[in-house]
Amino acid sequence: MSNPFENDNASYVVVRNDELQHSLWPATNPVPAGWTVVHGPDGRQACLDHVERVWTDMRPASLVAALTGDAPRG
Amino acid sequence: MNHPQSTPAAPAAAPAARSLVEDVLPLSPLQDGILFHALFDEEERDVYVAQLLLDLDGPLDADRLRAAADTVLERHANLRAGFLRRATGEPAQVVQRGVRAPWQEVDLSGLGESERTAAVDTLLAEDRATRFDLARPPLLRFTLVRTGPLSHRLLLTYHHIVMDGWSWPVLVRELLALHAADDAPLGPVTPYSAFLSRLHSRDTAAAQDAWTRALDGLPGGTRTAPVSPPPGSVLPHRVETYLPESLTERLGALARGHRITSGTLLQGAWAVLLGRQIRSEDVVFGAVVSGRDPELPGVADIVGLCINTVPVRVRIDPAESLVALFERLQDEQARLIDHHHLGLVEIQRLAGAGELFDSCVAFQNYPIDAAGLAALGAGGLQVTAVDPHDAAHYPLSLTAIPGDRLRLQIDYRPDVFERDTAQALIERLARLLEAVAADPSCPVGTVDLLSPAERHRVLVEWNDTARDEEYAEVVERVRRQAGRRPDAVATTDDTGRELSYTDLVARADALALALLADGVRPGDLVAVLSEPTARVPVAMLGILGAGAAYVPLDPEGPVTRTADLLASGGIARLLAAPEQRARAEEIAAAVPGGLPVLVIDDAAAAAPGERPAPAGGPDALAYVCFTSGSTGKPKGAMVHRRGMNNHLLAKVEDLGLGDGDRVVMNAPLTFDISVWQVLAPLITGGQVHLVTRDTARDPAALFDDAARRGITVLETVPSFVRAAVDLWDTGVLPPALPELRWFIVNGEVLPPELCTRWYARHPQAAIVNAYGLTECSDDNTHAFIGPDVHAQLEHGRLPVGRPLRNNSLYLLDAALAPVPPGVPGELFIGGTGVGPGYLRDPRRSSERYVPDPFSAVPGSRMYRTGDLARMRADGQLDFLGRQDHQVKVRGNRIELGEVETALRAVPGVGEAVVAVDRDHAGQQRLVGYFTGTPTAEEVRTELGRSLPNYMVPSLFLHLPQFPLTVNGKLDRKALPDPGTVHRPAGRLPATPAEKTVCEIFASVLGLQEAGMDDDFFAHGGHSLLATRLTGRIGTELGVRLGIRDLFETPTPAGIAARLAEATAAPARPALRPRSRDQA
Repeated sequence: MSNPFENDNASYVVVRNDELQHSLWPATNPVPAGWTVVHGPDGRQACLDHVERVWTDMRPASLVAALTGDAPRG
Repeated sequence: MNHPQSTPAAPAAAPAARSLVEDVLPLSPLQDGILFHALFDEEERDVYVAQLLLDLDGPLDADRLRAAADTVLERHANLRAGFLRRATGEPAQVVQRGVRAPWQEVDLSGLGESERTAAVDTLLAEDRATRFDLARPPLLRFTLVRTGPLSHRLLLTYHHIVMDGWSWPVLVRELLALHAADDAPLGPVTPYSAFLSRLHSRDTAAAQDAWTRALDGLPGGTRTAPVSPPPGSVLPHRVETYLPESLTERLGALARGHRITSGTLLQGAWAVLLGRQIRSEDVVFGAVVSGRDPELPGVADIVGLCINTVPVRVRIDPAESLVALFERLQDEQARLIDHHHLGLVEIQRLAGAGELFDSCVAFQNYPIDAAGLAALGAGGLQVTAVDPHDAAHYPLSLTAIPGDRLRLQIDYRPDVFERDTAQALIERLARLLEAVAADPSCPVGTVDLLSPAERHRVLVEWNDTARDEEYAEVVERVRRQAGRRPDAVATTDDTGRELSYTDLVARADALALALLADGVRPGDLVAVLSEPTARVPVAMLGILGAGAAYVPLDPEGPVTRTADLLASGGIARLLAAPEQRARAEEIAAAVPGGLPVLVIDDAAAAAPGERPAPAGGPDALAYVCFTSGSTGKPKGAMVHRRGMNNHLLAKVEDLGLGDGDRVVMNAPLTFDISVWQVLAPLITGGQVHLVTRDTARDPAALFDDAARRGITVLETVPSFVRAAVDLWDTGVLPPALPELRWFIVNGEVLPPELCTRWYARHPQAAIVNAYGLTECSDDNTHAFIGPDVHAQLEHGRLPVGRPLRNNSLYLLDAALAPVPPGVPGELFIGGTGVGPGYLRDPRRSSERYVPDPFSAVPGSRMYRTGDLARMRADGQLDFLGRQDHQVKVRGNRIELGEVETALRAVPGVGEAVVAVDRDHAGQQRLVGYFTGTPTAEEVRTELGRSLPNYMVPSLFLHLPQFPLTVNGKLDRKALPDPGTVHRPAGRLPATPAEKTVCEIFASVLGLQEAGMDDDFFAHGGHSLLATRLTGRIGTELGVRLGIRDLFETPTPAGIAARLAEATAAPARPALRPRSRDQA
């Protein structure tokens, strides 16, 4: 049974929510509410590489704001 | 007659009938199969008894009809055949002369309509239950029921071995024609023997080749039955539905437009449905084919068993359109038409995958519509209705009957399927056909089979867990309890420590202040190195109070691994219990760049009100737990405070925890369940009692402790439960546990038999089967397993229950759509419990924590568990297994890949494979196979430095080389069985006591023989087996040893020496307690 998140031949996107959390998402599925495509469609590994590059602070944006008083970064 | 296949030799049996023998014929493959089944269970009901009930209108002469029946038998020789096996085992059908049709007449015309219907039903049932003796022809009988002056019902009951469903229109037509006129022009008979001759002249080699290619690469048969059908036969039950006329028309038009047959359309739809049902993209089911080769003249007029059942294999590509699948299927099947004659047994042999299918599809295209019936009538006698009861012996059989409204029937074995399951299946099939008509270009993978009601049930109703609650920090909740009951005992441990709520809060606040003073900032991670003592609650609350997150460490974990995870996790501080200072400093020194160590000061207590400003908030981290990772590195699952709080409140809510409760903390601190064991009692004013690691792994000691301390809630893993009940079975009296209210089991599949054995001893302590993921804040479901354990089984499994408060469970298919109840899907968890991700691992986080398309809250996430599960009809979850190589051994999550990576990293090791097997006591264990230069002992020592104890295989087997398959891949099945490779170490036992000890060692470890120096742990011994061993020594030698004795001297020689020391002393606690000084 093919797994929708583990198919190296399928096409994926990287999506991000308002907390700046990043996720892999199958390109053929509609993007759920509250998420924006920030990369892709692309291969699985390329999408994961992108995530690794850009999602450097894994704390939710609202928590960062609460801890530092900073506005969330995009 | 000239039958090349006839065998002149007389059959071995039926000598009295010798002079009556007209002919001897071989059997068709299907006849052979039916004969086998019929003889297999002669005591059972014969499911191959079929019936046909005709409604006849018009003047009827019973004697003429009876004579007509005799004539029909006379015409069709095979209807006069009996079946038997020769002495060689070869079957034969022996045609007899002068056989007349058994005939019975019943007059029900005097009855009212409802009584008459009931009487006919009874008649049908009784007649059907009457077996045929296959050796005594004819294998059919008639019953004529008079229902009125001009209305009759004719019941034909026959054995399937003599004819198929395509035959009876021929038979009825002849019957009625002969009733109308003795000299009716019936035309020549095409004898069944002609069909058999044709069959035996077919090209077997070409057929074998075609079927081999058609089934090539099939991973295995397709089973729809949730359990193996019990042996024997059971009359099927039936559900049916009629498609709307417009849908029937649209499907017909679609089929014509794409030049596909209705049969192909039905088969394609069934394939898609099966694929969804069993979560497979390569399915196979049976199809009934007419077997009537058009090249045989007069084939349509044969009365006999010509049908065959052949496999239909369908590969499902989720991206392919429905219509493309149908067209492809039609092409694939067209190539097999010429080979339909090959017997199923032979086809299955060619496929080499055992029984290929347990469901079967038939498209019934013999005439029973109005026009077809009219064609059967003759003279004044008309057939007005016909009701065939055909026999189906597969667990599931789908039949489609054409008409203005396509009629779908599913016959199912009632001992295998519930009626609701069959009903849901037929409704799904109808929805699928509706989807086909609506959009034939829809990709197969995205067809939605859920009804709106089912969708609402699985997504909304069963996830209706929302609770509104004002958020409060755990520390704040504990302080509230301290304000309410300042002197109440909050925590105790095995070293005799006891802290009141006032003490606990004062120490925790002091620690929080000390951490902040030491430079820890809110959001930092603070690791804790401590034995499980009353210091742990202080440390947890202190860290949380400082706004930091708690990271538990394994007090006996390898220094390098611990240092690695501290370094890669960016841990800010290492907080150590005083007695762990030296080890903590050793670990800190191994962290590149060093790591500040802070030692817990037992004397520090904050004055009332002296506490840090509140810090944290629902999104701040509460704790990080490291679990095994497949790539060889542990992964740190982060849990936020909202998730932890929600889980604590779920435990309070579901268990009704209050200030009278005493919960034991027996889980390893690195196990996330230790978090609730400590904190849930403290937020409700109860007590937590922390036991030593020795007690925690010794069932005898733990339950004694629980009895002594009046524990009300105890949680453990099933393998521990097994060790406990096994121990009690060896004669050790279970302690009375009158105060124990809840017995929670989690971490592994819960065998029902353990529950029964538990309740036999502790009926007052209710079992909760819990399931959850560290990534989702610990437990996500609870199932309350009542004492009627067997009533709660489905397919042999106990449920893991319903979602906890603010949790959602989704079972999804490969297109991420919810699957119907009863169908396996991958489990995704949504809601408050879903944590922020894996510590410093964005890559792995982004593919496991994914958008939740079902949540009402935009931007929320769900966790992809990798677990397969199924929803019961009542909304409880059944856990089915993992999708990957993660295993659980004694409750610990282990990625075999991580252990293999570590094993390969041992200097001198070549190849490495880690497998799971069961030890002698039925418990799972890891076995490490390796090649290379080191010995098993060297490998064990080395792995002990890089892996935590629970991940070090119980057994190591050194192999000169790994067994390979013909393709050069590792042949896992050919790895040697650990039990077979052993030579006793050391001298052989001499004294009777030594002999007994060695025998017990061998028996517990599953060895053939044990020597005096055989090391318990080197042979796969672990703490739970240790309990078994000490239990046996207690019952057989009358001396009670603690498992600690075994840990210290793990050989028969060592144990024999301890026995000698203790012989004079009475039973326990002769050598116990012996817990180390943990002050």
